[in-house]
Amino acid sequence: MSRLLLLFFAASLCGCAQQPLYAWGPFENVINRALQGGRNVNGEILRMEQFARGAAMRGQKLPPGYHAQLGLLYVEAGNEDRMEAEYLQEKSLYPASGPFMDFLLSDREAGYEK
Amino acid sequence: MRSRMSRVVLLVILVMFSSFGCTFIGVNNAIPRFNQSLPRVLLLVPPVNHTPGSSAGESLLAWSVVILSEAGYYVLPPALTREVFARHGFKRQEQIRKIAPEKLQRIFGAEGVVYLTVEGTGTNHRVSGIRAGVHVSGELVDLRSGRTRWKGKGESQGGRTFSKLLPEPMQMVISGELRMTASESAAGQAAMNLFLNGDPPLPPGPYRQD
Repeated sequence: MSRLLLLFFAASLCGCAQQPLYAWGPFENVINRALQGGRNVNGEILRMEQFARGAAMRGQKLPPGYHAQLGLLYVEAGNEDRMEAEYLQEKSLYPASGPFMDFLLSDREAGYEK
Repeated sequence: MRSRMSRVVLLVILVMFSSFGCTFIGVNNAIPRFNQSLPRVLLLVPPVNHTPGSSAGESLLAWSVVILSEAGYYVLPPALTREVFARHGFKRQEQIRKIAPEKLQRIFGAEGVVYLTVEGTGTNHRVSGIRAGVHVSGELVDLRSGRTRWKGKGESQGGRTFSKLLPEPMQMVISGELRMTASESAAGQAAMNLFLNGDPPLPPGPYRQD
């Protein structure tokens, strides 16, 4: 009975403490640098890949846009295969990104005239 | 004897259920309700930056991704959307505002656009953009109807001081750990103050429901 009470108490505590929805790691910093024209592409890829592996081991969810951003870095590094894999990963993790990922994957030039 | 025992058990079960009910109702009241009709997929466009020479706009965008995602929206990655805009000659917010909403919906799958404006506070503004205080304002426009769904403003004094405490319901939307990290930069403070503690705060999005 006391074990049950303890379990109940622990469960109610879990409900109170707000957990972040996602594991952010270097992502905010990477976005900031990308927007400011940072050019250490391979370094950023390494940071993001390392954190992604750690998050997977801890069972944490990567935030919206994480894989897409990684895909963009791979384009800049000239690795189109990895780009495609990351865009598809973003799409499967967040179906809401589907239309944009499809746009990036299909025709990167067409369909955007004024 | 046996019936008395079962009555006691029944009573205990009933009491437990009622207390369960209380906690659930309490939680529901504490978290502001998500409005089902709000846009789920948000497009962040380059802010109008009135602090020339500073990177306040870019830093605010990066932190807006964090805060808006944690508040329960899907935020399209701004480095990628900016690339698409730039490739077609759209660099400034004023130009992007003129694009037909249907086009933004089709290409990005966006349901809403967030427009941001950054202004220096004047007195303690420094060109570094790191410790300078900023006034920020934001607007969420629904691409499906063209209606403004939220409009707010916030500010940050810069440095590490975090003047205003978040109101209690909003404390539940974002974790203490993340709040600490965000409050270490002016842009993080500004994004939190704008979206969570703004006047008025942005309602939580669909991915915050669970």
